[in-house]
Amino acid sequence: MDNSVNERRLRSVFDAIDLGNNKKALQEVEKVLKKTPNLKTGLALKALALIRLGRETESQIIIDELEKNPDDDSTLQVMTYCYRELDQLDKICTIYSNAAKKQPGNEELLTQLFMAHVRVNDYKSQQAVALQLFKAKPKNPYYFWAIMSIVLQALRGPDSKDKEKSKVLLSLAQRMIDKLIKEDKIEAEQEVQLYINILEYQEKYEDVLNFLQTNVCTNFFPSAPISIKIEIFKKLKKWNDLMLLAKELLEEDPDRWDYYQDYLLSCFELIKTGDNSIINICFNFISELIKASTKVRGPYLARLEMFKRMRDNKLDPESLMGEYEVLLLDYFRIFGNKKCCVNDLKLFLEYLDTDRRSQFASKLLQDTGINSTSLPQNKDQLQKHICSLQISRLCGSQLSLSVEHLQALYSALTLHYEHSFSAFDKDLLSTDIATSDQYAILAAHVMYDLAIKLNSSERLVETLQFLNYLLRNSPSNFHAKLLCLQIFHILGCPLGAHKIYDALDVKHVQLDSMGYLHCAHLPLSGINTLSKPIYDQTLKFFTASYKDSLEYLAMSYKFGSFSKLQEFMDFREKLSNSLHYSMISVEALLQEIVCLNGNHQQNYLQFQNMRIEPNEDRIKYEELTDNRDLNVMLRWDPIYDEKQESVYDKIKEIEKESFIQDTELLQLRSSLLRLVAASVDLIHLPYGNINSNTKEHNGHNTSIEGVDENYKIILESWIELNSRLKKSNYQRTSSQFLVNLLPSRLHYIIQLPYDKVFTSLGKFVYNLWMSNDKAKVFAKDIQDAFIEIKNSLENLKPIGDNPQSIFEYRDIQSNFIGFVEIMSLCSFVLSNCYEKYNQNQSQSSSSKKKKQTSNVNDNTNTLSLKEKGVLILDVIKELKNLLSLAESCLVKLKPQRIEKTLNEYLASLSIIPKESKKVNQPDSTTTVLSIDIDIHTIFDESYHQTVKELSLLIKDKLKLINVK
Amino acid sequence: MTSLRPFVCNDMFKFNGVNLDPLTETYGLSFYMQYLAHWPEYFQVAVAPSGEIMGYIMGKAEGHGENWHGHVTALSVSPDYRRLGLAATLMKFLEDVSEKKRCFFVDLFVRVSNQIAINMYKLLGYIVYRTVLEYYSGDENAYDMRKALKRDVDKKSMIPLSNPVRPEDID
Repeated sequence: MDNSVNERRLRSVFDAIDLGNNKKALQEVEKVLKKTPNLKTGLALKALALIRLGRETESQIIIDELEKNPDDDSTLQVMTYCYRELDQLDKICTIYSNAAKKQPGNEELLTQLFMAHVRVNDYKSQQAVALQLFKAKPKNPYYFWAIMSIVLQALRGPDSKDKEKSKVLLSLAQRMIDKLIKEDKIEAEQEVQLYINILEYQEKYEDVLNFLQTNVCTNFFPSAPISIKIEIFKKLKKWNDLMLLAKELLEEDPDRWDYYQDYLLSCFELIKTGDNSIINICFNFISELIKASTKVRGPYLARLEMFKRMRDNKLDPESLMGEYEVLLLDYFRIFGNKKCCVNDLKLFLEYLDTDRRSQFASKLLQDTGINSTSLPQNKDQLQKHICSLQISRLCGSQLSLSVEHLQALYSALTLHYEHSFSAFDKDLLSTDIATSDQYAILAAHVMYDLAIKLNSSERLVETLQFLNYLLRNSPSNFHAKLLCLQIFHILGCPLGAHKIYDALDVKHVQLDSMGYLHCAHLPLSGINTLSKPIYDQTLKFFTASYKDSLEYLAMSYKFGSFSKLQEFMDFREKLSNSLHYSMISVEALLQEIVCLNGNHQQNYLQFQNMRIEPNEDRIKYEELTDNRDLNVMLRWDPIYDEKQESVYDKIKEIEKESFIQDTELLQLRSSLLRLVAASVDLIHLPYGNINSNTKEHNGHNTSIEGVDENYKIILESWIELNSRLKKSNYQRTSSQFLVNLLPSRLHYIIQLPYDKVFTSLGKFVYNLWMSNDKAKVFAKDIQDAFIEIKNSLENLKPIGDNPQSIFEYRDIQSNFIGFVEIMSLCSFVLSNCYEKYNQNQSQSSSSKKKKQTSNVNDNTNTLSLKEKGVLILDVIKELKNLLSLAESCLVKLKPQRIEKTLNEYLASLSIIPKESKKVNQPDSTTTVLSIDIDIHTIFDESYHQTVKELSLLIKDKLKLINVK
Repeated sequence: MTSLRPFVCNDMFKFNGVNLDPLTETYGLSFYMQYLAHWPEYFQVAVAPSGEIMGYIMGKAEGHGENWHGHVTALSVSPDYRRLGLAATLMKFLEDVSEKKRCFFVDLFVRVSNQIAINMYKLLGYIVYRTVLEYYSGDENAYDMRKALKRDVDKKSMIPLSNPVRPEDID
């Protein structure tokens, strides 16, 4: 057959695949295969279309057949796609390796083979192929692919742990480039860069310095960053050289913080050697820069940094520079009108003596010229005033305020906001963030302090009102959105949180770094229609990125960006080990089981399609990474608390602790998922208490003994984990400040009767399966646990209109949702028990009789099928009661009525709200949607949505277990 | 007050203070990784003394012959670090790299409505070289702005075109 004819025929298939129309692709390729059934590319395309249609088993058969002998380019390429999607990357190596053997020296095939090895991190094979390539086509890039592959063996491969081997490999890599340099064959910047890196890996720093001077380096790498030299000077402790270099760089650009740090580092290292004259040289240099500069922050900050370092080194900075406080005040006077001033000063406040801090704060405030009777007259004064207020908070001045004072401060801030917004920010574009917004943000923090003091959720509702007012005026202010999001979650209002989250437009990598702010709280929301799309989006991001990012490793070789290779590899690991990723994977599966809403058979089928493998927990807990962007929310919380303990140390502690607790939570949830899945799997396996030879009996592959053991291990580990967690005494992390991380969900889970219910359910299922009459005991245990839930539900007080403490509603709602989850999972397991044993009772009564008679004499503890049925029914009956009770209790979740509408609330603050102001849209197509969440009604709406979904869920469960 | 350093993958976990701003788009990973893989030296991040990301610039070098030039793909500054001359610092960095790579000029595209940015680029020595029709989503036009580098002695790259072009005609 003529190749071009085939090519033409397949074009429509390729087109359909490109367009993502896999159904059409399949139809088209079937047509082609009718005429030429052995056309390999056609078969490969069929396999690809099948994979993309989710028919992997069929596709695998075709691929296995093709694997034996693909040779043409296009078949190989299509198969590469197949293997990539099936995550069988090693097979790509196999097919290209076979093809390359047939056509030795084929550049294209070898290149593909090299990339195939790259995808599986097989550096040694990479090296071999690269050298083959170089032999076939002596081009520099191939030679450097080989060198890079050697470097990776030294740094990351199995040999990297052996210091000697690693050393030998690196020196080999260096010699390979040395040879090229000698022969004058260097061609590109990247080659020079790699050479420098190899020298650095071997700690041959002097050699780097010398090499930087050579013609090869200056010709091919003219853009060599100065940072290379700086790092080398540090490594070699060439402090004098570093000082001179940094000085030179600073004279050119006096606003570079990195150069100042290098400069100061070198100065203080020289001082340590006893050269005290450096102190004056250093100080004079910085002073000159200050004199010469026109209002750049650099030299001023450098002066503060120098003060800090002198104090750290027990030198006497005051006698040289005067009072620290004066220096800080100077800084504020010059740069207080910049938004970043507070961030700058924050770095230096802790060096201010404790007793001076609040005094300093009032000095700043005085300096702004604004007091209780005056208002900012211009934007500079406005920003300065805001900065002084933020610093006053940082200095702890707001820590000891009484309730009345906090209230007054809040009112003052809201009025300042209102005034400044009208005076200075009215004409901003919708894409701008108003300067005056900062008052409102600070007000939110102050109001939270007040709410904590009074332990009253009402104050947080007021904060939401005010932030929402801000967002009407300034719809781009993401800081305000983040605070709203946080408060909605604190108050247990998932619908409000969802709306504000939507407005943040979180996507791609943000799904990981910001997932902790919303997605991670959703299992507590009870609104599955809100959480499911976000779980799906999140999981899709991770799986797609993991696959896609692989191609960038290949790309780095193509472009010779060797410096990025290791970074890409680390990044891929960081993404795939993300705690958030594992957590959401598990939650999504649990949610899917909870939400199964068909009849028993449909549910079971769907469950099987989930392909949960209970026997192994594939999560590598030791390697989990924390990818949260924990600084995304701004804070100016006091640097020291009343006891003069560092608040920021505590915040770091909370961050660490929350990661630890969430890791435990993940273990617990994963263990629950596996236990539930294993229980259901067990129910559907042939009975356990049948002596030997059951294997053939039912045609099942798994040995019964193995099943038995595996199940016991899963159950045991669940029990152990629970008892360990109960003993471990984890504390809820502090919620002292508004943007502290919310306490881990772990605390909800461990105080709910998950342990009791699923331990007894697990044992119950096991004994049913073993036909052991101990099942009776565990049936009773389950019922007892249910009664415990029943009592909790009955004792639940309706929220009503009584004042609530801050976390009260969230706690109650979360517990309730936990109960519903427990019941839902039980319903699923028990419906399987019922169907299995009930079905068998009617269908296999004859075979059962046989078994019973044979067993009756030697085992008095066996359980007849009929008895099993009765036990299951008993438990189900109790569960039914419980579900009905839960449904009737939903009304108890009705939240407190929000008294005031926004306008009424603003009026209480003496703010006369403008007629819903039209936000200026810029003349461009970038538009910012205005946000208007009605706080007055959102809590009620959220409640109704929760109730609607939970009650539907409960009804489904009642239907599922509706047996007589 | 800035530290400049090459953008690394991990910065993507921390650039939210810049990217949550409505004028900055967050792209899929491939977009960033493609630039990191191809033009790592052109992707720089500006870091505040506190370690916070203040802004970043992404760019590339491309073109043949006298069209060999540096291109600014994205320039973003956090709203908390505006009016400090940071954009100018980042632009200067990119121009320096392009200069060392012996480019003839640097160019960039900007929404015609983004007057603030256009003025800033003019202050930095850029001129509107041509208008690109319906370049942005929502069919907004773009200005292609340029600044000649030392190698373009006669500043040939800065002679404006009188007629607008369509996006498909940009080389």
